[in-house]
Amino acid sequence: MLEDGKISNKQIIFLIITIITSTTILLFPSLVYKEAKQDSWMTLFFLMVFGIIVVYIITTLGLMFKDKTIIQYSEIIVGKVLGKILGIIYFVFFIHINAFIIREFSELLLSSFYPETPMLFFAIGIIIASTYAVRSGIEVIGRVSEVLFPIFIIVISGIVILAFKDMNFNNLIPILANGWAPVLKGTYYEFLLIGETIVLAMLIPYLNIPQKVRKSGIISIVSTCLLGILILGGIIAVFGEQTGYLRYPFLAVARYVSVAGIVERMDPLIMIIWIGGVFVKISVFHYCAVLALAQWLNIKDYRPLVLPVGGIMVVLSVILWENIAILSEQLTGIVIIPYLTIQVGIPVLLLIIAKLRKKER
Amino acid sequence: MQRCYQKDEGKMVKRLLQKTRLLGKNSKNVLPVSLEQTESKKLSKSLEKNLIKLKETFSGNSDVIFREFNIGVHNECVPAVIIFIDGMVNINIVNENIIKALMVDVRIAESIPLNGKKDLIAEIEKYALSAADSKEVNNSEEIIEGILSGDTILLVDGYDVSLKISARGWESRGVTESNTEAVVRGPREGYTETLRTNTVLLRRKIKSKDLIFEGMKIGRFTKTDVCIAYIRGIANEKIVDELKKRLSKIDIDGILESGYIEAFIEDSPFSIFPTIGNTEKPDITAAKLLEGRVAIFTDGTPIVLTLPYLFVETIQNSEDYYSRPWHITFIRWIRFSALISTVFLPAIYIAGQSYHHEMIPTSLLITMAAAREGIPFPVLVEIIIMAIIFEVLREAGVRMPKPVGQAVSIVGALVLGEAAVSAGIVSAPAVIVIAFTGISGFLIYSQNDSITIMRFFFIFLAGFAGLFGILLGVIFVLIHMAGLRSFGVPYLAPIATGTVGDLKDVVIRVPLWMMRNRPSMMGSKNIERLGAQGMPKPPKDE
Repeated sequence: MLEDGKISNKQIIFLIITIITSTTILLFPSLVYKEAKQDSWMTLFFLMVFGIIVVYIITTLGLMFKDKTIIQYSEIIVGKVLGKILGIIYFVFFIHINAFIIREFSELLLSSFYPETPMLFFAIGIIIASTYAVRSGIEVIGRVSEVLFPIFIIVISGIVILAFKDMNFNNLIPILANGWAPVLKGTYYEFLLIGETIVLAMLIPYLNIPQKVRKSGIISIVSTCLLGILILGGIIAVFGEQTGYLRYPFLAVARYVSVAGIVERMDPLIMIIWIGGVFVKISVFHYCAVLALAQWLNIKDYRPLVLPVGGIMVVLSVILWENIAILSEQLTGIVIIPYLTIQVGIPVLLLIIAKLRKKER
Repeated sequence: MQRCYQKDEGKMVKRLLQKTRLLGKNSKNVLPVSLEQTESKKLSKSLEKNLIKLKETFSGNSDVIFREFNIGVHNECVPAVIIFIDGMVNINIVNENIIKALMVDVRIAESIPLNGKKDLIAEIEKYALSAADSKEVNNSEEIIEGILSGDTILLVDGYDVSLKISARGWESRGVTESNTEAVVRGPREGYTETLRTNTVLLRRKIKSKDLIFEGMKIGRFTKTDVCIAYIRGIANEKIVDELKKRLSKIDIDGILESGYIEAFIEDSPFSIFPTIGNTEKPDITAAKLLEGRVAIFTDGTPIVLTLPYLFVETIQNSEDYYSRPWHITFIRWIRFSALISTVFLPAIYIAGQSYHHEMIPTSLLITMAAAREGIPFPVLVEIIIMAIIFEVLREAGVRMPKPVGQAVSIVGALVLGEAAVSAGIVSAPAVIVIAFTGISGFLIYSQNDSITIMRFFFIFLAGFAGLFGILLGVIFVLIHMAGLRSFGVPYLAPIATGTVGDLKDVVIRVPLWMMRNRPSMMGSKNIERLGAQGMPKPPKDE
């Protein structure tokens, strides 16, 4: 255990909801729309089911080793060599997914608000903030998320509610015009969002009451999916067919909102809140990456590692993808299978092997 | 108690400070050796010898009075001396109850036979001396300390014990209305500079045997009386012990104000946020003690420290509990918006003007653009100039002597505001923004130190990076606050540590009959503060 910080259950719920929601509403609505069209919001029901299963797997695995993270107990389950390999895989995974997130959010800021600013600026800025947070410990991250979460949820729901008058619910029908196949394909794209609950595997040792983590996880998945239905349904209701052509549909809805001619074009304020959510996500993954590396190397104090790892993430975020189109393509193409393996497949395998080994004793 | 600050940073900073000789390397600076330490401490039985020693100690001082007199009748008298500092004693008591009692009344009443008495001092104390507070002292260190604190020392020939009589009385500012913490409804008494008066003011609020005042003296030269107050059974024992430990470690020349103590015992000396609160009024102190906090009284200042201090106390005011709940909830929201606006309004204005024009409604945008026509400075510079001018005005308003008072309002309002706008140096919106920012700042004056710094911090961030910069700043400040602790209690409690029950006094203020429990984050064992009476109802008609 590298630090004494503990997060409460409420904080882990807030953390997971923030993590999943903040990037879901970035790129995914339009990507999913291309497949599922007006039934996109139904994909979230299946996602909920899938999410509950994933949470169940990860928490069962984690609860078997209450004070160890996945890096540590994978060595116990499959032996030292394989465990070390798995550790490296997870470390690289956390860095890669963070690079993805940083790139997504830099692209958003760049294209919508700050066209003249170099992209490196956003990445460095957010990573410096994340470094400060990670160095202060997971308890601080939990508390910051507890403060930011209500604002985040209120603003995001507020946008959807305020856009109500622009919504045309005819855009949502006909339901299931093309059958279930497009819906399932849309769900397939969203799987890796649910896989982000893998952070639970790293955070279970730092929970106040580990036994409740399953309930917390399920609450977060259900809330996230309900929120997602609200948002996605709202977006499609407002834009209908256009959703597929917009890169950032939620931002477009925010721009659309106009109350009494005064509260209008509020998108910069939305941006602030949204970025708060993205910051929480980045700092949690940053923390997981650093923790993974520190445990892999058996170091006592993870703090010296934070800034270098952050630096790697910044650089990767800039050089891995040339533009947002390639990123979106990867997001719905190449990246899904490796991510799903890491987020779901490996825990399933570890769980099976662990259970078998337990039976042996 | 858990610590949240970075350990290796702390060591690095400490080493850096030591290298630049700002922080001593655990040096034990030796005081210039005072007379108190070289002399032998015991009194002698001879009055002459004692007198010579004490007169030497106080040589050069013209305000130390040695009054020699005889106790008893002519042939049976015993020489005695009282020593006191002119102006620090209640001269009536000294005259009537000490000198007259011993010179005159002893003779008349013949209450004590004087010859060959072994325990004359005890006899005097029990039969002759009519002063209320007296104590036997037999070492010269305590005698000197007593004299310097305002007590009167009685030395009698032939005895090596003296009496220290407390008959203190000096000129002090009376108990007046506190000007810095004004209320419309509620008690107006404020503390004064005398410790005893202040502790009495608190005792009158809390007449419980569990109210404990623990005294100590801090400061090598000032020997300031410092008093810890807490309610045994409600306050968290750990906090009291930790506080006593920290206070005992203070080794300094002098404590002149409670701010000195605050600087030495606080959890995060480099943070801009205060983690120890202060107040000037006894009813606020009493309320805080009843919630489980600990108070520190310092002689010489009317400012009393209370700890632990949390961020939510910024928007809480004592008057809140004397008024009605709906109104107070509304006022709390106003205070909270004032907090937001005083820190962020200039920054948002800069960000909107420079980077995010789309955020401002079109008509307002046109007005602002027209107002800014011809202004030589960019928005950032304009706002910084106005903010600095505001700070100068505010500081001048506090410090200036009363006769010159009118000039500030005239100069400030007319010249700087009006004329600067007419001359086209700053634009009217900038003046409005800064004026509103300043006024909001007065609403929450307790956090003024941190708010001013944060305001400038955000102004720069906004000028540099627009709303994204502001956001990064907010995140930084939040992370900092989330890691701060005040004597073990997280600074952001209860907002960020989720006991929902404690929120009943933060965002809203529930009626008093709903506040069943004390705030749980104070860690007290005695949680209930309300009996089972429920909501007030009119009596049923029978």
